[in-house]
Amino acid sequence: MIGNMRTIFVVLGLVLAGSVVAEPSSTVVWDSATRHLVDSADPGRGAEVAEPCVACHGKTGTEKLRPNFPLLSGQTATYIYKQMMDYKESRRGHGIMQNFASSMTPQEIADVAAWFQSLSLPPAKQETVTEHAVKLVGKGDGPRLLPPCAACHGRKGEGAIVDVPALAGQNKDYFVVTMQAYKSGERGNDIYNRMRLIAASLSDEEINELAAYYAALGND
Amino acid sequence: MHIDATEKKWIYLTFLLTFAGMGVLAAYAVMDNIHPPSNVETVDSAALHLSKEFNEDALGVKREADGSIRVTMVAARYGFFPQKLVVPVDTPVTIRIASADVLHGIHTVQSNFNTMVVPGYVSEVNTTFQKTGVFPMFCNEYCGLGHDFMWARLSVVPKEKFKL
Repeated sequence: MIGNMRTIFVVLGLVLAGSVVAEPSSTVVWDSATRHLVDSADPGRGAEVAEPCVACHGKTGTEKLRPNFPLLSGQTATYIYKQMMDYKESRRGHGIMQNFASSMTPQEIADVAAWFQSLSLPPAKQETVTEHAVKLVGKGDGPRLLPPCAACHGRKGEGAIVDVPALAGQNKDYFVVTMQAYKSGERGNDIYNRMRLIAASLSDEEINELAAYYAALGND
Repeated sequence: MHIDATEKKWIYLTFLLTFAGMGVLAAYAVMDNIHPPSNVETVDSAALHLSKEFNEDALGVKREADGSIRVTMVAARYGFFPQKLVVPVDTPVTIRIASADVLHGIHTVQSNFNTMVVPGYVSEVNTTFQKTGVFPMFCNEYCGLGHDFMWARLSVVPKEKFKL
């Protein structure tokens, strides 16, 4: 009897395991409806909703905050929207952020994103920028199939219209933590592994150098 | 209508060069087996990563029941996914590729794998790679500031060394 039950559980387990479909890294789709939602969001309303966000993420980029938290002033709205939706859908993990995101509507998220985007990028910090970092940002590394960072993130680290974050003036520690999370696979909400592939090709030293490069860029 | 003799010569020369150019293109098309795509199939490019065929886990190289090889790829600014492919030499390969954003193209050096990747459509190429080696693949339709850096790599290996 026990043997039969065990067989049934094993068979059930195998059937269930076979039916598990891998989860997509993000469920956000940049169709016209989503683009319209973000493009037409109200920064004024977003400023009110974003009051609790400022304590950790600042609004001028000059506040003394925890260095491993991202500064969001001037960040692209599409990027913030996607990250918050990914938290909401549990595609990106962070207890506090998932709680915030799950209590917000897509409209509120779009408004907050529009408000952060309306602010200036954080100012430049005093950092030592290496020649190697300049080369990686501007030219990439063909043999490693590494595209230059500037191709997507812009020559001034300003980000791009759809879902590409601004990096200029970002906290060095946050930059490193994020890239290491991509490298280890701990963070995986980048569609088609784009950042995971890049981070896996970079050495820890190169990640540190790139963090300094972008912190030194700032809003000028 | 009077046309000056010198002008006439230039008009003839222009026509001659145009037809000669078309002749060269036609000859290359025949010699290298280049032809327009015969497959017309639509796909939702914005939701490509959520589709059954082009979701992240479905990409890559697979062997079909008849022994042929099927490659599923995505082109997106600025890369091809997967970035690295391994296929066997002298084996029929069907490559299906779609764009997640804008117009791209893909060309593999020393082969006739060369197609436009139009958003909203699946591009399908049937080919057989005849030389072993490692070949670069790159985008040949301008797709944005990172176009020059859209690289991937194809390894064509002997049949006995090919493993999935």
